[in-house]
Amino acid sequence: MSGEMIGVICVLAAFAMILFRLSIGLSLICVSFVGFTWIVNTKAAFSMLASVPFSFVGDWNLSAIPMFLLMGYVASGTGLTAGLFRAARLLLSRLPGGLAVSSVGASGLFAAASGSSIATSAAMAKIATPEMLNHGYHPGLATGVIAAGGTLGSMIPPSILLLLYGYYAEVSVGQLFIAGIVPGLLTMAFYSAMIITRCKLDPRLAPPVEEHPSLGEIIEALRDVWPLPVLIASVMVGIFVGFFTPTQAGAVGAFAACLIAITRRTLTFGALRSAVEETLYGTASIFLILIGTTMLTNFLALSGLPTAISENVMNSGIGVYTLLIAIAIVYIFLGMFVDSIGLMLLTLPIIMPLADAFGIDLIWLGIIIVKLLEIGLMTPPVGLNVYVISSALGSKVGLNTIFLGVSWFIATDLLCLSVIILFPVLATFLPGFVM
Amino acid sequence: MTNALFRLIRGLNIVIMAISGLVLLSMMLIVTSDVLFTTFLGTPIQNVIEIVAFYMMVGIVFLPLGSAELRDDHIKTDIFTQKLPRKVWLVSQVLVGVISISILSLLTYVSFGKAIEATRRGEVMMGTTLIEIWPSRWILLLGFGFFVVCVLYTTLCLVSKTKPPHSEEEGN
Repeated sequence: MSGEMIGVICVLAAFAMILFRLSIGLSLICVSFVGFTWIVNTKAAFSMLASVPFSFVGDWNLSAIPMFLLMGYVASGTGLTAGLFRAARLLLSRLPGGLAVSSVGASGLFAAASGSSIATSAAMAKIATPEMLNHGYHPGLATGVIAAGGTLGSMIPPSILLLLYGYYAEVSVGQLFIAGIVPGLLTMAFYSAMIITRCKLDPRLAPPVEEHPSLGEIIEALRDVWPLPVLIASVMVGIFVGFFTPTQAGAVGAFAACLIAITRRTLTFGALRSAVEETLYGTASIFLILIGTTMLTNFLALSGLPTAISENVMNSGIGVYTLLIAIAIVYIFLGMFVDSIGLMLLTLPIIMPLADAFGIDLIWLGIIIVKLLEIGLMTPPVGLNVYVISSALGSKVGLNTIFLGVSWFIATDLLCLSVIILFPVLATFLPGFVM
Repeated sequence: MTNALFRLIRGLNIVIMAISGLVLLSMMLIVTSDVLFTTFLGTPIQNVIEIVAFYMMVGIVFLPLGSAELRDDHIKTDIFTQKLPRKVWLVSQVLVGVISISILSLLTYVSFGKAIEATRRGEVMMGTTLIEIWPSRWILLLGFGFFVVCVLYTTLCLVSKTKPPHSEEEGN
């Protein structure tokens, strides 16, 4: 049997095991081991098992993962993110659909701090959705905006997905982080424009909120939330001017989040312990998949499958845009079943050789992939963010209503993605300035 | 038997999480100090990158693998198995447990070989100075070893129809 055929069989076997709820990381390790034995011999397979897990912990970029996770969990666990919605609301509630627009703004900042889509959606569903429902907002809008707002965490830096992509594609993580800023803000602008237009056309979606906050109230709300945006901006500027490596930025960010929480007397032993535990669980589960993907990449390279696919695709004469559309379809389809980190690491071993063959800008591709993964977080049947909101609200709003509400945001995201594909400069302009 | 095993695993889990938690916080402090030292005193702390990579990261990544398993935190897909009839589901999950245990046992076995080998030759790494990294091979072994025990336990829970620990703890 040819190496390529063995590669195909092993990839299919991995998918079958993943469908049967074997953890993604272990599925990949398992098929890579079997594949190595099949193509070379048991000795080579054992040698790969022994060398891979230890080999990449030494990567100075990957050590940023636990640090950024810790920063996020400390920030959200000690209440640094609690006042975001209130502050955004005081500034934006007079717009049509103002509470929903405020949710987009607050979610963007929350997501930047926490780096986690799910944490953002879960928290904002408890803070913002009840307020919107109380003001007579349509339940689909009140929940859809939170499911979509949560996905901003994958794009707005620091983002774990971009960090993993950078490691895998061998692209500077600092440049990728900076590249995520414009597409992230663009997504927020698109969401807000869509909400405002819809609410103007159909005011029943979101009855106007009569609020006239005094200057004092606004200043007080801003005083409560300012440390968080300042913290995130400092971390990003530090990376931008080359003062920090991502790991240093994460560590200093986590430390600063602890200091801020100490001055506000919210850093209890319980909050710190819970932040540390969540960081450790998150790190362990991400790295298990990373070990699996690294082994799969070694095995697939040996099987010759990625080269064969690249050659076939190149020979078929399709252009870059057709390839990107094909990638988009694969991601949106698989995104219905597999979690975003798992999906990205699972598919990169095949996609990266294709991107190389087509000479695609890897920063631009990273942004497109992350955008697609964001959409996957909202699409049925898995749409993790939707389930998170549904359970956070104690099933007060039906799943169908949430999925319907989210469909507007998915359509907006597809529009935003098309803009990023048509104008690569949106993603590639800023990274050119990273020092 | 699962009860005694559960108490043992729970105890180990607490110790392991406490150690990796301290390592995580130390990593935050040591990297931050390195940045401060370099910025204000112009002298970086020696071997920070190597200590972080070969000791701290190994502890943070590999020690909690089993703890994450106990909480069912490893990334999996439920969409297909949710729809299976109860009996088919049980058989498939036991099979998945057996596959996991087999592959993890292999990983533990090869890590043991590597740890012995590295210890014999006193494995070192060139940082700012020469530092010994062989002890971290044993941390890896410990992490995979605990992971196997945890998967064994969760699979036993399935067979004996007792609830695995993650369903007993609050907030999960």
